[in-house]
Amino acid sequence: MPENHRTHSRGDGKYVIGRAADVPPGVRLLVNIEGREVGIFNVDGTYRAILNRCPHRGGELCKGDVLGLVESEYPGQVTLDDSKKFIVCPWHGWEFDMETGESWYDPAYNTDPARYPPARTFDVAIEHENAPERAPREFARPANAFYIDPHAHRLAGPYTAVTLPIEVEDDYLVVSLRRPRG
Amino acid sequence: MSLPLTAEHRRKVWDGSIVDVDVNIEVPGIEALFPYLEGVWIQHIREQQWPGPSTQYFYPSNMPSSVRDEWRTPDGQVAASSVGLVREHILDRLDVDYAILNCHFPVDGGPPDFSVALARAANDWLLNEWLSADSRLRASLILPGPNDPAAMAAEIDRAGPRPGFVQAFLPARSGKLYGKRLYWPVFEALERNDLVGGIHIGGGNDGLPPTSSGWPSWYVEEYVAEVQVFESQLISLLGEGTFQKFPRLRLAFLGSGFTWVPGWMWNLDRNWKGIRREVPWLKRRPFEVVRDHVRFCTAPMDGGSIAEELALTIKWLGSDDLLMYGTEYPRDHGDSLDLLIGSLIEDMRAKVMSENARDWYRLGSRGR
Amino acid sequence: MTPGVLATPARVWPGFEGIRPIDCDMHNQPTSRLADFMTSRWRDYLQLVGRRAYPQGTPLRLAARPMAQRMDTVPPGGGMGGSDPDFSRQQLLDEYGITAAVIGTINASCGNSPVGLQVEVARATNDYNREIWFAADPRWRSSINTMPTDPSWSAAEIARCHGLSSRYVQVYMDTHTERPAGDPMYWPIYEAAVEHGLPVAFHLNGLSGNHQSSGVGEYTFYYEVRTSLTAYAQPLVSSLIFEGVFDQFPALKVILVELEWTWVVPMIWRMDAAWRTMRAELPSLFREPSDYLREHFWFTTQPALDPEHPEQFYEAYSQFERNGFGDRLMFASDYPHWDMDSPFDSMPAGLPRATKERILAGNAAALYGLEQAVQR
Repeated sequence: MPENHRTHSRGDGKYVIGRAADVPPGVRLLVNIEGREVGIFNVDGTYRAILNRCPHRGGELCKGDVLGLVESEYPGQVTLDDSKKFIVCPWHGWEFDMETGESWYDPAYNTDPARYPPARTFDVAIEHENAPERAPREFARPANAFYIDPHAHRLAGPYTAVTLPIEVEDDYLVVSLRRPRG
Repeated sequence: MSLPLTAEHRRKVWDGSIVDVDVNIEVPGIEALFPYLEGVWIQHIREQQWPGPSTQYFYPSNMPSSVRDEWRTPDGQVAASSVGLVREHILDRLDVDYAILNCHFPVDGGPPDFSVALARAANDWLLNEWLSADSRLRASLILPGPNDPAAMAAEIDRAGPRPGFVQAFLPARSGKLYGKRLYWPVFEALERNDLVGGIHIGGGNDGLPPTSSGWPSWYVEEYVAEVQVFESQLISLLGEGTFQKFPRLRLAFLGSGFTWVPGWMWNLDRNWKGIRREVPWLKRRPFEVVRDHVRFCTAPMDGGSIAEELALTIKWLGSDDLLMYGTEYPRDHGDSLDLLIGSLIEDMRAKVMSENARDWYRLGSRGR
Repeated sequence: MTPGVLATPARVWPGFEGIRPIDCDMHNQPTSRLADFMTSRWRDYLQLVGRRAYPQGTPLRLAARPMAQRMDTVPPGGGMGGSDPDFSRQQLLDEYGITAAVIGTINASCGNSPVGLQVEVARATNDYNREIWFAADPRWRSSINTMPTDPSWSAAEIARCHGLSSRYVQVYMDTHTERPAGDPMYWPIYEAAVEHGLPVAFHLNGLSGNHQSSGVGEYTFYYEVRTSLTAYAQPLVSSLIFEGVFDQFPALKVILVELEWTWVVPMIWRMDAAWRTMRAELPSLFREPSDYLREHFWFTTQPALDPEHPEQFYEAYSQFERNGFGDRLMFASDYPHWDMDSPFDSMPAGLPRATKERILAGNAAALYGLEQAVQR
């Protein structure tokens, strides 16, 4: 995986990563945006961008495997939902939803907020260099209050990996690091 | 040393209701079962001059730990071998509302038909000579060997519905871990009959040594190491998804102690987070599954001597529901009722001393 | 980065400033160069037959990630995690400012093999660690691999290695021996360790002739095997104590590596309670069982305690300390395994400074006779 790929700031909080064609399905890039490492993934045609830092113990999250969701209701029955992709931290194997950054269950009890500050989500747009300036969108999602999904015990909010929504227009991928609200 | 369990002591330390979930009784001699055995087995027993299976391996009769002083009989009766003794020592003296009899009768391993016959006879004996003799008594079914799960399930179906049986005795040293799928018929039968699976000290382990580093040499060495047998059973049951396959299953750990549980479960939770994909039926943290499906007898307490320290460990269990009081009659592992009560917050005392057991064993409801 | 220079760690760790850890458990992975340290007889044997080692009985039970390693520990040139001293130095020693790391080469024996091969592999591993790893950086230390099935060979090997280098700082034993650890057949190993002033470290090796993973037979899942470390320690400790090993060898020190520590206090409670009613069996044992546990045992932070609620770490550690084990816990990274811990993530930053120093360096420095470097 190419690392520290150079990005080009457009000066409006958005960064040109490179050509979409550089990141076909199954390939990933590790880019450096203002000193922060971000992994760029093409997951079955959809682009994902995730901060390269696991909220559990700080491992390099983006160097882990991208895996489908393994599920089971009871032993004897095991299925794979390949439409749901998780990035698995190469350290302790925790699974993070690539779209939302949420982990499969709550890591809340084992993550020290003093050491690993709450993740922020940012929005990313991928635009053509020459395309007309798009109207700014409500990209930044404020950090949510805690909620716990009672079935999967997923904790949304601060203890998620930082994801950056990413889109493609024409040939280029563009990431936006807008200041978050709240 | 703990104070003798006298009536006065009991009342002074705990004035409320008591359910004793672990009263170990023994078959006094194999002839006691003759009224319940077919002729072919009586002949076999007589020909081989077999006195019956022995509990000496686990409880050598001369070891002080096998029988508390106040429960030894001066006339040399086998301890815990009659209703009269259990009434005298436990039911009446300690004013116990219910006592659950766990008959340590090792018939696992060896010829399966013989094992089945002995288990059936023992259950019929329990029914006729114990359960019908005192309405405060309940009992665990004795099952044939773990080498025949279908036969185990058949006995649960046969004798389980009889009034007074609340549990099946599952020897902890089962030769193969209880989480393995070959035991599914057993747990299915327990669920079907609404009985608890009581994993209790005992078992022939199908000839295997009882540790992962061979056979211990000394009795005390082996006894101290025995916790790891229960630890392994617990992780097997959880990791293999037994409680997801049988969502109404209730288990009890008897004779395992409980002070190892928080540390053990913290390990299980931590590793589950990274290894979940191998055991995907575990959709919740294992510790939470334990709180729903497993209970632990308080004996042996293995709780030290300082109430505040034991209280801390109990707090880490994270639930008021997990502990059920048991004397482990007639054993002496130094358990102190004072220490137990002293380490429980007030709200928890009635639960531990009787309510958790009433709930778990459905005592006083539906004819149980 | 020049080997031998006291490196400044790659970043500052809030709450741990200036603490320079000692790592009590690092696993290197010998390369094919191990064959250079073997005789042709056994080199050829390996070519012909191979190691044929564990896990024969459970081929489908896969460790989390190949060789249970952290995937990003694979060196740039390829190979297994822990196979390149230089990359390991960078990722472990330099990254965290570690002043000494004790190598324990696991899988360095092969229980179901001719004894000649077993001792050859153990001996070659000891030589490999010395020639290649000691030479690569002054901060590496090593265990002396033994072969429990041949205690007298093991005793001689301990003497040989100790004579060759003072950087062998401990004797390596396996949790899964064929007889429990305290059995008199293993006493020559303890005798040799004591004679040369070395502690004996027990670690899950998995390759002795004994493949029974639990007291009730084989586990099914890697989850079970990996999580049951407490269960491997308990019979081992019970055996060492009740067999009277510490009466025989009062100077013996035992390290339980990667075997956790929250089980220790409940175990002393259980041992002492049992002792009250069972002591007639062992009239020759001098002291209370818990006294032996307090006097002769050390423990490592691995696998790191992650309780349900963060405050429980403080509660559990305080209980451990109160019961006499405050100078017994030592940091271990378990590099390059997937569940390794950085020293500064193996415990909460809120512990008292002195406690952190002790766990991260002081206790190990005292045990191994190493210098403890603390920069203020």
